[in-house]
Amino acid sequence: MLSRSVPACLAFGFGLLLASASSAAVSEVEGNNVLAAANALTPVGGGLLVEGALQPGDVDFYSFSVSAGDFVTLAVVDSGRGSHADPALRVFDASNAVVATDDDSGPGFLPSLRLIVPSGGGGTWKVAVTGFGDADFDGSGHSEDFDYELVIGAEPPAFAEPSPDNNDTPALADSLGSGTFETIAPGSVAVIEGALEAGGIDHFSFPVEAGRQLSVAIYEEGAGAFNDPVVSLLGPAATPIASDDDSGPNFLSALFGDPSANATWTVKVGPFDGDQDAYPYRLVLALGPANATNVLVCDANGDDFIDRNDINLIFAARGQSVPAGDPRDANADGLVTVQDSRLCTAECGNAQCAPPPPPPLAGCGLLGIEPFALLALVGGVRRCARALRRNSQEDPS
Amino acid sequence: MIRRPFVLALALLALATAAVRDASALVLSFSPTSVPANVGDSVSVDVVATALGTDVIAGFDLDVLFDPSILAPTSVLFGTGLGDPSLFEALTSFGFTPGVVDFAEVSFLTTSELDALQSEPLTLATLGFDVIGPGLSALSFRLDAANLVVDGDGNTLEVVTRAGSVGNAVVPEPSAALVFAAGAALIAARVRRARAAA
Repeated sequence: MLSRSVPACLAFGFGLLLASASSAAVSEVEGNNVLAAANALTPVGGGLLVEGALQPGDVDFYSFSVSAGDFVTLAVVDSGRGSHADPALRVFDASNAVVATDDDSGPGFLPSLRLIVPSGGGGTWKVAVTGFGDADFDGSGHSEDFDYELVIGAEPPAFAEPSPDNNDTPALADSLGSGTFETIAPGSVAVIEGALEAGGIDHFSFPVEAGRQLSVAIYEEGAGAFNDPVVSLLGPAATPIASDDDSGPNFLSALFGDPSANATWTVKVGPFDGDQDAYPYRLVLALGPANATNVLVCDANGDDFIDRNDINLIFAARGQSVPAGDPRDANADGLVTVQDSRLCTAECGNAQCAPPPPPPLAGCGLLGIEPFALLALVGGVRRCARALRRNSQEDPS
Repeated sequence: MIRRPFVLALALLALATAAVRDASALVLSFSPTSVPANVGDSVSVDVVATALGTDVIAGFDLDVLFDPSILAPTSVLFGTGLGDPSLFEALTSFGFTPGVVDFAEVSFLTTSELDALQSEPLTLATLGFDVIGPGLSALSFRLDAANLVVDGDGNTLEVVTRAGSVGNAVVPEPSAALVFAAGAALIAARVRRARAAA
């Protein structure tokens, strides 16, 4: 989504879609406070919902099976949408090595992760849910007490771009077809596996429906630290609809489109400014529920939390005429302008629209690059800030 | 005699009113106003805001129009009056289309932070151009529903714009020659007439 942003948002949205699949819900069985006692989850596939509870000193472990190439989505959802509860996630691979850790990439204080299982990395992975303050994920040091829903999805891409590709123009776009989208009530999601060749451009076309908001996000194994894709949306006859460079984590892209009519749209993936880098990526397309409505003004990404990611999206949409009710149109004049961007900065949930995202603790951090030292510093600062925030909440005086 | 001072007072009052009205509007202009340049030169022009009064600028989206047969835009460098984008204090964006430089910035800083940061003249951005053709290109602002300046509360600020220019005015050689020839003919005719009279 979008902030941890666009990725976190999309992941959260993706998580909410999955969370709606009540038929795939299981409950936590306590006694799962160590890796070896993890609750074994049935194949999680497109989405599994785990209903659990954290108490002070508690940590919950779950295990699930993944295969190389799977796109793994994990998110914690609580009834307060991260306003007060502050859980954290850590993922371990089959050898119990830490794959990724996340604290607040979701809305509010909720964590959210997206990962690509590397080649040879399949097997039984584990995920731990604990509270903020438990740096070691052993239950100590946190006093969180709340019920939560853990959403886990692990699936191979719905479509793999042929190699070498032949989709360098909109006319040659790889057609995804509606069957590519997995229907996960109330929306649909498709993960596309692609690879940018040096100097190449990829196009994928697919049907969209009027009123179903389309979210597009791109990920790659470096979490955008080194590669800089640009993602564009094209309408019928290759009409430009939207384009984005860096609204995702680091140099990754994320954007939204609002189809006003049933049509075939095309997503274009290209390099920034003539870059010649070649790298694999995952493109996540999510179609929202029919007749979806965003009622929270300024909440451009629909995560019920207004932050820098929303301002990014509103700023990027300058000059667009939008229908009534569009959350980007803060002054409701039918046109998105810099005025809407500024009006929405006043609505941000955190000062200065929240600090910038920290280096990818999580994200798609399977590169093996774990900037622990920097994270420790960032973590310390954030802890101080959070402690101050909590004190101010608890003590109205 | 009594009327004259009264009329004068009215005129002064009108002038003062006009001055006050103008002072309440933010002024956008180019600095320098006129940039002499020849083909092949690279020039830069600041877009500056003055007459801020008690206002702060918290966001702007501006189009600068130019003659694309004379100028080719090369860069937009944003000022720091709305915060430092590299410190996540502001968002910036710009783009070039034929004859138009579109650039925008919105600040995440509070009104009081902006107030402490901004002083006149406030440089919003520095535009870079290559001079690719002969002549003088006017620089002007286009303000409309999508191109505007807002204050810390998101209110649209009233703006007065001043045009600028880049290049060299082309001397109308044929016209000058004609005027010169006409003048010479006139003088010659007078001389002839004077001689004939003598």
